[in-house]
Amino acid sequence: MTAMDATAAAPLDPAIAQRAAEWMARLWSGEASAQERAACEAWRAAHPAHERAWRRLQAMDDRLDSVPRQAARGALRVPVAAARRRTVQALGLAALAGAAGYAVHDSGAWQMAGAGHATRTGEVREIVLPDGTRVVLDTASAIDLRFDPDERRIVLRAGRILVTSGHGPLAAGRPLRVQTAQGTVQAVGTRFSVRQAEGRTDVAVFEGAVDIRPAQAPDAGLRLAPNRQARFTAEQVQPAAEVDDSAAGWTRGLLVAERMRVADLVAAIGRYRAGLTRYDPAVADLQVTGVFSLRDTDRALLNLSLALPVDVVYRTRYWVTVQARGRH
Amino acid sequence: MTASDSASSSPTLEALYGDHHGWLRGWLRRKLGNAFDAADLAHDTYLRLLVSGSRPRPEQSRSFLTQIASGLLVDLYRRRRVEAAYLEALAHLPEAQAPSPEARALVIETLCQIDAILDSLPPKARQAFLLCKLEGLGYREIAARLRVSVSSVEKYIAHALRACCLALADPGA
Repeated sequence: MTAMDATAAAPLDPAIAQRAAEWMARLWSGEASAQERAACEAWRAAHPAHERAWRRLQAMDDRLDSVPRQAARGALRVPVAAARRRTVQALGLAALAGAAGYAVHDSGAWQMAGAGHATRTGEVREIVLPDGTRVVLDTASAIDLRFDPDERRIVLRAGRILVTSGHGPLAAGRPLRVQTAQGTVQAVGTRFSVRQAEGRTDVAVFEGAVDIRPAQAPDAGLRLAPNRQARFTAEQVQPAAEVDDSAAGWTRGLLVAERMRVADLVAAIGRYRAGLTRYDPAVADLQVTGVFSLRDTDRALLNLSLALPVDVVYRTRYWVTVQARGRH
Repeated sequence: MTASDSASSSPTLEALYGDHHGWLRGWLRRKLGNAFDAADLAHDTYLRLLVSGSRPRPEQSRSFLTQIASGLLVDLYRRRRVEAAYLEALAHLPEAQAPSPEARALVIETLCQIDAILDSLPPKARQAFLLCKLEGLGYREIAARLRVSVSSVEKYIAHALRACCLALADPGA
């Protein structure tokens, strides 16, 4: 047994940790002189505890170096506190990262840190708020709740929610609002969904009505009637279009496609899968009609390959590409 | 111990469990949205208490428990975020290069530990460390990015390394 073994269980002296850290920071600078290197060697050799502190740092360095750079960047780059505020931008970045013609979906579970309620990729969950309001969170979604005497505010950080407004005692005289990066949607006795997309918000009303108010143009607001959907940016609301109840199929784990483009279908399924779900541009504009499972996305992709002349190619469990049949 | 003693001193672990376990599980379920994770974290909270040996004053029992549980929640979110980033990176690798489950677990563990350590540092120390290790920048470039002197960069890096040195276990331990 060496002296190092004897001391291994003892806590490390902070002063020694400090010195070891200073030496390593000096060497990492790339500007340490030959004398300094020799002095570092001498310090390590002077006491087993010095060498022990040094080895801890070396082991950490080796382990960090062995992690794929891309993974380490993704995992460590953004501090938790900053990640909360950057959710929306980060979702936008994930889309930019895609290769030309390919849709890329970030499985991003990290943006949920700090949100009041959150779902993982592939998870759909209903929660009941203190006022009786029901909120269904779609895959990879996150909300914060801000209830005060003046209003009930749901801050949609990421993803999509279906809101059925409650009428409990806590609701009286306090408007229910959903806030996104682009503005607010205020409920008027209603059932509606709000989705935070890249640079815009999508709203669909199934019962009652909502008032849309873009953050930068409050006067450009719009009252959205039942069975209508609209999208808005911080500056303006686009004209409303019709919507039917199948648009809320995701709350039952179903995607109802009516002459839907493969590009849109794969993008929608991809939101429920970890990793990357891509399509070949050659099949992007094929159209498909059917009901697809969002709870079992492998089956959904299989069904797509049965309905259309496409193959579903699994490079890994986390990298799936839909491409023209026989093209691989 | 007399009745008046127990009323004025810290509650026992049994009392903390009996009086608050159900409530804590409910609190965690509302945060997490599922009963399984909530039950796990509630269990871990009491385990933490048991190991630490510290006990709250009776009137602070619940805030004490939620404080521990919140720390565990942060750890859980961190793990999920790290796992997601790692799986995302794996998706870019050819299947033949995919690491074994053991290797994956080790990487995720490493990243979670380092992330937790870096989170405890001042932002500039964290950034300096990451720019050096992950972006491969020299101290001069880091100094320019952070708008600090080169000698400050070396101090930030040393600060981060010191925290790693104190928080991590000995290799092979």
